[in-house]
Amino acid sequence: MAISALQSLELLERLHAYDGVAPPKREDEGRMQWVGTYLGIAGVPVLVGEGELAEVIETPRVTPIPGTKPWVLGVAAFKGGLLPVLSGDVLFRNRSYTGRVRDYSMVIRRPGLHFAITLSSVQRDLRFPLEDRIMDHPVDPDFARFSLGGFKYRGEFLAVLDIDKLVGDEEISNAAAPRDSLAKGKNDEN
Amino acid sequence: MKTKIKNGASSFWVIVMTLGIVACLGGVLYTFYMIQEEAGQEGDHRLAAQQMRLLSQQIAANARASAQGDAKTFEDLKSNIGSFTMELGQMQSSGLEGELERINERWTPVIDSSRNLLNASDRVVFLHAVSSELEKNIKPIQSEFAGVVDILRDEQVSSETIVAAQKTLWLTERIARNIEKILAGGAESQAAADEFRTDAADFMRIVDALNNGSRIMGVDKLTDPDAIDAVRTASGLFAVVSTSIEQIAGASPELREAAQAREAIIQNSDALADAVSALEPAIEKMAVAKLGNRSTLMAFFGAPALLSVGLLVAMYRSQRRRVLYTEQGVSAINGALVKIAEGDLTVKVPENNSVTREIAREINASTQRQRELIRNIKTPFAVSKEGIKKIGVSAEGQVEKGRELTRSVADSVAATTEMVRTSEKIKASTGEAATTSERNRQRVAQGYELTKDMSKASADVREAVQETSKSAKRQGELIQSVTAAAEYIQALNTKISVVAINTRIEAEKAGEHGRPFLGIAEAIGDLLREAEEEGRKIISEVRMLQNLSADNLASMENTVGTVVTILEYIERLDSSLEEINAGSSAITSIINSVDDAAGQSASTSRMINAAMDEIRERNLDISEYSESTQIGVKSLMSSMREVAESLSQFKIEQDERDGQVNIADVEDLKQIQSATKIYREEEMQAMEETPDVRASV
Repeated sequence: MAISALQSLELLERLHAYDGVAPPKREDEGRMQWVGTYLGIAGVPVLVGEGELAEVIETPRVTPIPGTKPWVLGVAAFKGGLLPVLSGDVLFRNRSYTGRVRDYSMVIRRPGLHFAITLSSVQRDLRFPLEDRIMDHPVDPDFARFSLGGFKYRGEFLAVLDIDKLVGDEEISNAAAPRDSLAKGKNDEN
Repeated sequence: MKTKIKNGASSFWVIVMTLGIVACLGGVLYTFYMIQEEAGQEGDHRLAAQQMRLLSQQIAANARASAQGDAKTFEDLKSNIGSFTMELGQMQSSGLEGELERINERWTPVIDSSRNLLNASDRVVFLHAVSSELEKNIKPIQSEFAGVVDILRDEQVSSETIVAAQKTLWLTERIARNIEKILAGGAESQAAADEFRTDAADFMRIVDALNNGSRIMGVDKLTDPDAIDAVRTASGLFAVVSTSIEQIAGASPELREAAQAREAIIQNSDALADAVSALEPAIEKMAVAKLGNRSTLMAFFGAPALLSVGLLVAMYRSQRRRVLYTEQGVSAINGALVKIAEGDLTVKVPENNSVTREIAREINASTQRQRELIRNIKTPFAVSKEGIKKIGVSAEGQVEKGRELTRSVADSVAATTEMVRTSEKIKASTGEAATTSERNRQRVAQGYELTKDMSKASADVREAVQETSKSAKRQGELIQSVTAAAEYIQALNTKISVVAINTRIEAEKAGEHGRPFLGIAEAIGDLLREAEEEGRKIISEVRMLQNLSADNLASMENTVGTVVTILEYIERLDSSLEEINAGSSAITSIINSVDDAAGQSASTSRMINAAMDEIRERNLDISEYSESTQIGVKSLMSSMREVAESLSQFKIEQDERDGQVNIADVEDLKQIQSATKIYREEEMQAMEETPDVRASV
């Protein structure tokens, strides 16, 4: 004779059918997202954040500059001015590179600095939820000091290349070759 | 005179014996009757005790089941109480006063509680019916009122009206629950009855207010026809409660008493069952006590039995003496008969035993007559003896010759049969060899044809492979060009990617004005992603095609090498077939020579067969002589049988010395006849079958 649990639930549902209020919708649109460009430098996949990249260009023909460090490929004529072009492979790996021609370069423009770095690959722009950023993932040792965490994309970890760290590095801020190597270079040319 | 006295004594002892047995049977029957009588009373008591125990358990079960409110349960309870009381009354005069007093002591509270329970039975049954009906109707009632509430929500009615309609749902629930509590008769049944009365009144008031409107309650009158109809239906379904509110509420004290009575019955039923169970051992003890009186009955049975045993012993001793005297006379007759059976007819049986005297006289006279008859038969047997001896000697000679001839013919038959068999085997083997040789020759010819076909097919394969190789090379070139195109597409994709990235960068630089370009850049990026994936797939598949094409080329080169190897094998096969052909010719010549040898063997067998025919003719002559001898012996045999029949009239098993010699001669003649018979039927049959075997050669 006692009312069953199902009957009780049905009764409750009937009594409150008109009093119920629809739950508020979740606002996913407001989530912060990290936007950047997926590139490859010296065969290492990296992400460059939005606003840090001035442009991606086809690597222009360069004129070598004597007395500069090995990662300075030369200077190129670009949009009516001169653009120093650096080898991404030599800059990060610290050894000479002989391999496939790097067809593309990224242009970086900072106050007082304007140069291009050769790229091993150009992929696409990507967006990631900000909370997905991984800060303690191991990164290629040559890139570790210029990276600032990263994101997982299709099972692969993409390190974020911090351009501010790169341009602030003492090594890159001075492109002149050391004196001993300069002397040898000069002797050969002469 | 002595015999008459003995017969009189026997009759006396028989009468005495019969009287003893009759007396014994009388004692047994009396004892049996008395035991049955006592066993019947004990059985009745034991049955009554078991019946009472069963009834006590049924009463407890009825009390438990009465909570379900079934009228039949109360009827059963009443009937079981009556039965128990009756059984208890029947046990009163059984001599078990102590046990019955204990049972009465425990039965009293049970029967009092049962009466209380039976008094409340009508109310319990009624309430249970109401409860069942309401349980059935509660869902439809709630469903109807739920419909009313739904209708009222859509109408402009006061909130009190909706609340009142909703309240009926809970009221019906609580009414049903309280009826159950009243039925259970527990401590809270009075409170449940009061609440039931209030709820039922509330329900009826709400129904009335909904139908007619109530300003005090703030309930509006129903106007919707469906709602009115629903309330009417629900009210009708609730009528089972509404028509008997006071009856249900007033039943509470009575049902409480009924519940207490039920509990009391269940509690006391175990003690009652124990008391009833104690009856059976008491009945058993009473039966054992009565067994002491049965020794008297046993005396009635034992005394005649002892008397009859004594009489039997006396009868046995007198009969034993008579049997020994008779056995002496019989053993004397048996000894004489044994000697007569051995051939000694001069023996005489003693005639001094009164029982066997007449038999001994007859045996002595019989032996006397037998001696005279045997003397008369001796003379003709002496004459027959000489004639039989002569015939026996001549028949013996014939038999010896026949045996020798039979042996030689049998040997010859075996030799020719073996030769014929050997010739047949050789013939069959040469036939099979010829067939095999022919088959081999045909196979060699087929082999020749096959090698030609294989050679031609190999050449075709080589040409086809060469053609395929050319097409594969062309295919490789095409794949190369597709690869180049795919790589160009990939390069284009990268360029587009660069454009998309730069578009985004520029759009960001333009700020708010660059937003449309940002969208365009993202759209290009999405399209590019798809294009890149497809391009990657194309490149990987084209590379797979390249690998497959290379594999095909390698496989074709292998095929060409294999075809060349096959051609070499075909040449070797040619030379092997030539060798096989030469071997087949040699085998054919061997088969021909073996066939000639088989022909010669067959002609030899024919000559032996002719010799066997002659032997057969001679043997037929001998068999004719043998037949004439057999006729003579048969006539002698018939005369001897007649003599034997005349001797058998005298019932003699063995004869004197002369008679034994004659019979031995007759036995010899039988053996001679049987030897001749074996020669004619078996060995001659073998000889007659021999020509058939030769005919097959």
